[in-house]
Order: sequence, then structure tokens, then C-alpha cells
Amino acid sequence: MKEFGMQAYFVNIPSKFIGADGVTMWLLYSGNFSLDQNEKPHPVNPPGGHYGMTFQKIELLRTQSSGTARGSD
Amino acid sequence: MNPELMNRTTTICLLSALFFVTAYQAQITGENRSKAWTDPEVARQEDPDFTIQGEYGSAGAGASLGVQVVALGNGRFDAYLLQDGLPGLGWTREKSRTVWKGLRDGEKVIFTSADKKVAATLLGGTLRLAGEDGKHSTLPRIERTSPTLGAKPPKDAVVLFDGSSAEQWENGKSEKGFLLATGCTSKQRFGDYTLHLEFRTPYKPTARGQQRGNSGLYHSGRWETQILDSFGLDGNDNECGGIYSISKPRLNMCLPPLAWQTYDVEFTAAKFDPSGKRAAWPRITVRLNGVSVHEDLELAKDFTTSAPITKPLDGPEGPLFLQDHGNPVVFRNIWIVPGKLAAHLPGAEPQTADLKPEIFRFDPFTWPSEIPQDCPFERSGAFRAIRFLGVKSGFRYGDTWYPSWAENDILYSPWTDGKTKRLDGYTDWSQSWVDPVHITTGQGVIIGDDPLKLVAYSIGLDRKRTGSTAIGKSSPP
Repeated sequence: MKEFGMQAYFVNIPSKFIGADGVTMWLLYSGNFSLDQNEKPHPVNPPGGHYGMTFQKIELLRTQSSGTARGSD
Repeated sequence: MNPELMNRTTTICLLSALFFVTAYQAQITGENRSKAWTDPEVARQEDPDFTIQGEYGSAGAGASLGVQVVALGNGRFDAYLLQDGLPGLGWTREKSRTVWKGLRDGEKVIFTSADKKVAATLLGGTLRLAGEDGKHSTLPRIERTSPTLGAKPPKDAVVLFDGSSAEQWENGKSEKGFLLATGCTSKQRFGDYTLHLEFRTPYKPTARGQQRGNSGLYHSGRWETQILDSFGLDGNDNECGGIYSISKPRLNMCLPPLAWQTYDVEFTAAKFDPSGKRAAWPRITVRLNGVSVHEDLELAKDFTTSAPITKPLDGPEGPLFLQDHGNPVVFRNIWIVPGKLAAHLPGAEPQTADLKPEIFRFDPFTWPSEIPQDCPFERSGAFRAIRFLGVKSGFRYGDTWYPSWAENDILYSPWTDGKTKRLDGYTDWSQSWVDPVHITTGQGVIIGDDPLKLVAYSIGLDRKRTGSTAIGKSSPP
């Protein structure tokens, strides 16, 4: 999650939105309280993040499960 | 010439010269003091000082310095240096406030500090400050507008002036869509109410004190919230935002002259027992340009200075009154919501969008499970990565939501900063960047089982909590 943000805060996972499988859930956070830096827009990562209330649907990939690292998707 | 005659002649000449000079100065002074611009475009064309006066710094919180430049006429200025930013964005009364004197030379203004050193220059809308280390810093000119400017009247509001007619006012007169400060009184009387009013003071750079764009808004015809061009000044009870002779504003939130400004007022009328004896004084909460300057203040006297109603307080209701102080102050967009106040807190504004979440989709991707070197927790061995599944939901209001799941299946959450819509058609506005005593924390709910179909809204503001998320503090329990 090194690239998370660049302004992301109050990160939490509401227990109501954790799926029955225990690994699919919704990540809740706020982000990007200032709109730019040196007149350039802040990067937004993951896409769609913004000031206010952002929910991202995520899946935690188990160590033994299949999956690929970022860059190969 | 006879020496006595020469002395008399000299005396007469000196007296005549003195009379002429005095008369000339009086004429000049009188002309200057009466000069009032009421149109910003005309002021811009006729007086180069008009576009120099104003605010310099950042329009957001977190600045180290804000500067308010006040025009004094004929190329002279005062610059007020405010620690931690402009009022409402960082500066509070306990922080430093320094004044520099400025003099315009052509298009450039040179400011000198108390020790007569050149401290800053202003040219082309940029204030350039000399630092102790020989380096310079710059502050751009900004123009702030009230967040409640243009607020539309709710469906249960009484519109007192919308630009079309002054018929709601005794002695009211409208001109060019503005209500004039003619000493007019609302025809209706009110008890409890929430009021929105917009006003504009003239640009009178050579005038001083109470002669500089004076008017007033009287509640129940008795208690005055002052209207005055007091941009940059101390913020006393007889200046803009003050409750005349009762309380000075928490901050001087007055904007420069000829800027439209807002009063958002929550007024709780005096209470009387069945025998007619007063049981409680009225109370008032005032926002000037969107920032709280009085919070639930008791108005513990029958009336304030120059009130149109001066008999002892004998009832809960009274009219609004807009004072004529001989200055061309104008008003627009005046509406009032009578009745109980809870549903119409200051800052509330008509809802313009529904409560559906904003959905965004993107290509899924995976981030490896990595933790910072200084992370106090061990990296979990159970998970190797987090995959973002390419769908986002949420709302662009409030901030810092962190909900708890209640027995009734609703998520309850505090939120702080920004505006969050409410179910009743209004919007709550929370601020954390004001001083620790006056911040508010929003309380909200998130309803629904599917994050793509959630309904989220504010259920009110908590005004009793102190502390500031902006500076990482919280109040003791």
C-alpha cells in the first residue's frame, strides 16, 4: 500500500461490509483534502478516491491463493 | 510704511492665509470623507488603491501567515500580519497581529515595519515579504466569498427581500435590485427565527471608524448586530460582527468593502412566565461570512444603542430593523425561517442533490502486502496482497467517516469538516480548523446493505466537543 493516497486517512473496514468469505470487503477512507500541490493535481490512488467518504471494494489475497502482483493486471 | 500699520497688515495677511488654509483643508477633508464608492467596477476604475486593498495569503487552512491590507485613502495603507493565516482560516485572537504602514509609489506599495525598515513590497497583486535571512516570501491576493452567499430560502421561509420589491418593509426602498439602508422595519414580527441576510458596505477609504460604511441589523427592533466596514480592524463590539455594547465578535470576519457579505443568525426569543415576567433573555448565534462569531450568546439587556424600540422588554416578538446611518449600505437576499431552530442551524442551505452514492469503476489491480519499516505491527503471514476490485462508492461530503454498526443495522459515524446533506433538505457544515472552543463535529448515518446503494446523511452537529483534528488535539474527557 505504499502508493495509497497520496492523501488518505481515517482508513477503516466497517464490519458490516465484510463478506461471508472473510476476505472480500469494503475499505472506507477519506482522501485528498487539498486539491493540488504546486498547482498540480494530487495523484489519486486507487482510482476514484476523493474528499469525503470513499468506499473501495477489496479482496485480501491469501498467501497460498493465486493472484498476481500489481503491474501484471 | 508705518510700522504699526505694517504689523496690522501682516497680522491680517497671516490670519487670512490661515483662514484660507484651514478652509481649504476642511473642504478637502470634507470631500474626501464624503467620497463613497458603491460600485466595485467604478471604484476599480477611479481609485488604484481599491484593487490593492484586500486579503493576501492562502484561501485554505494551514498557512503560516495571512495579511489584510486596508486602504486609508490617497495611496496610504495599513497591513495587518496575522499569525497562522487569515481570520477563519487560522488566526485567532490569542495569536500575533502586527501592523505595517504602506505608501503607494506609482503601482508599487512599500510597507515599513515599526522600526522603519522596509518590510514588504506589493506589486501586481503579490505581496513580497523580506525575510530575516535575506530570502523573500510571497503572498498572492485572494478574494474570499462567504460559503452561504446566495443561499436559497427553504420552502418554509418568509422572503423579506428578493430584489423585486421592498413591500415587506415599512419605509423600505429598493434600487437596482438592492434594499437600501433607509431605516426600514419589517412589517412582520418574529419570535424565534433563523435569518439569512446579505449586505455590502461602500468603499470609503478616507473615512474612519463609525463613518466607514455604517448600518446595523436589529433583532426584534432592539439588539444590533453591527454592519460596518471594519475590515482588518480589531473586531470590537461596535464593529462588524459585534453585538453593539454587549459582545465583540470572536473573530473579525469582515471582508473588504464592496464585497458581498452574509449574516446567518439563529435567534431565540426571550421567554416569559404566565404572569408576563421575563423568565429568560433572548439568545443569539451569529455567523458572519460563514464563520461563527457568537455562539448562543445571551442578550441580557432591553436594547442596544440607537435601537428603534427602547421600552422595557415585554414580549417575545419584534420586527427586524435595518439602520440608516447615513451610509450607502445595501442589502439583498433576505429571508427568515420563523419558529423552532433545531432544523435550521446556521450554514444550512437548500439541498441540491439526492443522497445516492457516487459510483466509479476502474480496472482491478493488486498491491503486494508490504508494511513500512517503522510499522509497530508484524506483517501478517496469512495474506500476500490486497486486490482492488475496480469499484468505488461513496459521497463527496463530510470527511473522516469511521462508522460503528448498531443493533438497528444502521452505521453511525462522526464526521468532521465540510458540508454533509441532511434528510430535511438542508446541509450541515462542520469546521475543525477554527479555534478549539468553536469547532463542531458532525454526526451521520450510513444506511443500507449494499455499498453501491447506500444512503448517507448528517443527523446534526455536536457543538459541545472541543479539540481540533486539524492540530491533532482532543479535549480531556
